[in-house]
Amino acid sequence: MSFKGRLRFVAPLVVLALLLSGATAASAAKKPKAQSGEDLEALIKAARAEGTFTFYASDPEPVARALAEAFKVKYNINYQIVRAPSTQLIQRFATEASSGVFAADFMLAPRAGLFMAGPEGGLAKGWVDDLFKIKLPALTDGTYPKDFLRKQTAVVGVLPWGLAYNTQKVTGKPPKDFSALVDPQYKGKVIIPNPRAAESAIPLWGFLQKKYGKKFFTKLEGYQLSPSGTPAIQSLAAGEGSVEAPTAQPQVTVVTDAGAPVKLVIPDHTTGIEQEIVLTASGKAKHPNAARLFASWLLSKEGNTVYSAVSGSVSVYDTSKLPKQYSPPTDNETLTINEIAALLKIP
Amino acid sequence: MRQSFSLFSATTVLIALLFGLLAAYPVGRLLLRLLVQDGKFELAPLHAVLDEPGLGKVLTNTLTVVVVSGVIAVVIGAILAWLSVRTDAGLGVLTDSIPLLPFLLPPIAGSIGWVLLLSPRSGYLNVLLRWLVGSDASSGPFDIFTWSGLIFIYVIYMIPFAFLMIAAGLRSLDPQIEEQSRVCGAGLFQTIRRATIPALGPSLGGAGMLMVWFGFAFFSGPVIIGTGARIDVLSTRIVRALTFTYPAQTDLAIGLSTIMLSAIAAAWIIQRRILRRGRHAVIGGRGHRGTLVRLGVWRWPGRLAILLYVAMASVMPMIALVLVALNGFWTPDIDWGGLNFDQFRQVLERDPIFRHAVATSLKLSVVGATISIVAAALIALFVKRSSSRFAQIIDGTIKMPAALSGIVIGVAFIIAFGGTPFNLNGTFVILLAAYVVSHMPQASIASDASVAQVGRELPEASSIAGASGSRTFRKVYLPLMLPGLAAGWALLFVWMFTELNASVMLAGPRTPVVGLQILRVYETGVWGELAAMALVLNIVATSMIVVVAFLSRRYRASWTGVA
Repeated sequence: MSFKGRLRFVAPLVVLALLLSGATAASAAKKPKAQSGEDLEALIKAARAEGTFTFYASDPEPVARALAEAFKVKYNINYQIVRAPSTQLIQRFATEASSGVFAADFMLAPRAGLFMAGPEGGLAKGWVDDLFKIKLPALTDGTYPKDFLRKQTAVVGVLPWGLAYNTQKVTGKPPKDFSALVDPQYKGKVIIPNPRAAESAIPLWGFLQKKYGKKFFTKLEGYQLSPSGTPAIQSLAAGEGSVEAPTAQPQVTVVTDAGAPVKLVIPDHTTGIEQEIVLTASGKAKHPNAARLFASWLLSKEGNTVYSAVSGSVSVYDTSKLPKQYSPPTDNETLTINEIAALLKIP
Repeated sequence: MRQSFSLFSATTVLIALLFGLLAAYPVGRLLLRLLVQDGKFELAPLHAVLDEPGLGKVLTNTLTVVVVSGVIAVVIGAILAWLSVRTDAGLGVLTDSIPLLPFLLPPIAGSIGWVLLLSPRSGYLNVLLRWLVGSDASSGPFDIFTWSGLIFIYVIYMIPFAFLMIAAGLRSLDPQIEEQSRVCGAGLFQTIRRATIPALGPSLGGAGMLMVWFGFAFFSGPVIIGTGARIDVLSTRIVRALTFTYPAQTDLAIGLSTIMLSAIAAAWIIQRRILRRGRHAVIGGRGHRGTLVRLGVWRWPGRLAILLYVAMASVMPMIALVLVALNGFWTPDIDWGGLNFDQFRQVLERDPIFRHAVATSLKLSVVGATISIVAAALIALFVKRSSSRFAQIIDGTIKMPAALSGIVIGVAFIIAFGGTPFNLNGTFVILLAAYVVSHMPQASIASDASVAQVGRELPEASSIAGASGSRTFRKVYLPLMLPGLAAGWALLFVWMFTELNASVMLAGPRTPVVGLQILRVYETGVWGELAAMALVLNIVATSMIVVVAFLSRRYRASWTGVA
């Protein structure tokens, strides 16, 4: 089923299934096998006493809502969401924090870990907690896959980067990997979203330079530059171009759900967008325990499966769905945005 | 003209002071944070601007597009205003609504509307034209992603400012001035040059200033159309510095904003000079009812010109959006049998936050526009009557936010009012205050021209007859300024209704606003849904304006005794 379809239909089903399977708050408290023992029980109690939490998310609103709703069904804790694009979200969090305001109890955004690091980062400023120092049950019980632990945070889900093509315009063999972008038959028909509008694509451009070299960018010349990912996929659906990259599952399903002749190709060798979680510092957050319980649930197999179902991303517990040669974005942060712009000849 | 100190003047001064502070305090706090680092004074914004690559190109691009579009818009706007006000080609309500037309669609949707029409391969208009002439070409004849495409979209959005101010000026201008000029033997062009243009000074000054402000700040047009044309302008650079990088380059954004500030300051000084010269058209004590110029055979070509603008500003992009909304996604191969209302249902039925957002934004924009325009009218009056330096400073201060992107204002408001002692983060009040401050310049420009056009005779007569300051304001200034203020209100209302940039920083979970819903669909949704949402918002905004126009006409009718 497609992404939006999943949102509309699967999210309530997931919530219902959780209810029917008896994975309710009471049974979770009685049988805390999935998340280690007493810590979890104490956390649940403290979180319930807070009764609610607020989080900032870069996911589309229905995704964040379905996720929080499933958590609410399990633990009976209310939520409030502020949704904004990732960079604006982090910027808002930082501006608020620097003015002594901590409206969000936690934040879900790609590259949020980068916001935590460095001498000017959220950790050094005391705005956020180091995920590994606060002993989240899901991280201490040894079930969370180690490959997805990042410097001060953990990955919540992965969206591998791919390329999309218009099935009416590409009549021959469909493209297999990113080399299609420089295939002479698509000259002038390649659509590229402005990398300046999408920081999460920075690692993909670094990856492409490592894999294909600088000449890849020279051969790209004549491509159509689109303001950002969503306008780019709409242009592809309309046939303004034949191939579009980089793109990921949620963007493609937005147009295929509406009936557009578009297909996504995820190459075996690629990188991706990794959604990360950042917790507001315990002493600053209004609902630190509810936030910690949510984080622990989200990083557990159960919560992570819900997130994967509602967001269309690959669960860190089910790596069989990852491309064979998946290369984490943290290994591909080799170019700055200005270097990418220069290579792509963008002002 | 000096009046004795009264309660009314005291209130006016207080309001002026309050709004001056409301603008100056957050911006001051933000500047302080940027300029004083570790207790030392540093020119961070200046360094950031000097280090910015390709700045020269960005500035030339911006100046070119603003000046060229501005000149074209003034010429077209003046012709449309003259046709509507002074000739028998006017089309009633349709011509009266020209200043609002393009803004009834959120600018993101309006710009996308033109992408849907004029994209080289799949633009509806291009496909239609190729089909009409039986061309085999796969693209053209038009390409929106070019310099001319970009200027075109600026012109569409700038004409309303020229029209608004020039039409208001023409309505107040005694046609006898022109008639006397003609009687004295001057030709049509000489009359326009020697009589009409000088008399329309405040209107042209106001139009120029509004266009400079709009041109420098316009964001959705350049980002949606300029990106494809590889044309970078100041507004996109500023938003990019704040939005697309972390940590945000606030120093660069402020540095670039000061460039905008100088452009707007220059326009402001020119406008003040024009207003001070006082040679312009004013509403005197004697009534005048201009006779309409009969255009004869030119009446219908005149009307067609008006209709053409109406079509371009609103009908054509709207048709494109309707097609996309009904089809679900943008494609020139429309499945006519499969058109449906699914996207409208998605917006109206399945989106729990949308209705809440519409309600919040309606409240914000109605209250915000009213506060802004009333305060701006009082301040404009105060500035006109007082030649003190204090009045000049207040006037300059409330116009200053014109140079700042909504995002900068949002950031400044979090710093100033988010934390203790105000603790207004995420509240309705902080959004309202930010909306009012960021739109005060436009409110003030519209009010300046309205105030300037009220001559001295009537207020003097009123005060000689013993009326107090507040009575003169209510009975003389307000009714005479009302048409200008109502038009200004309507514009503020539509802008605030879909405000985006300050909201991204300030809207809380309990105060969702329309702008963020549009942004969400633009970023993560299909254009069918965006189109459906834009059309629904268009209907909401239009209904609101129709109601207000009706009420304001009734008020005028009850005051003048003319229906």
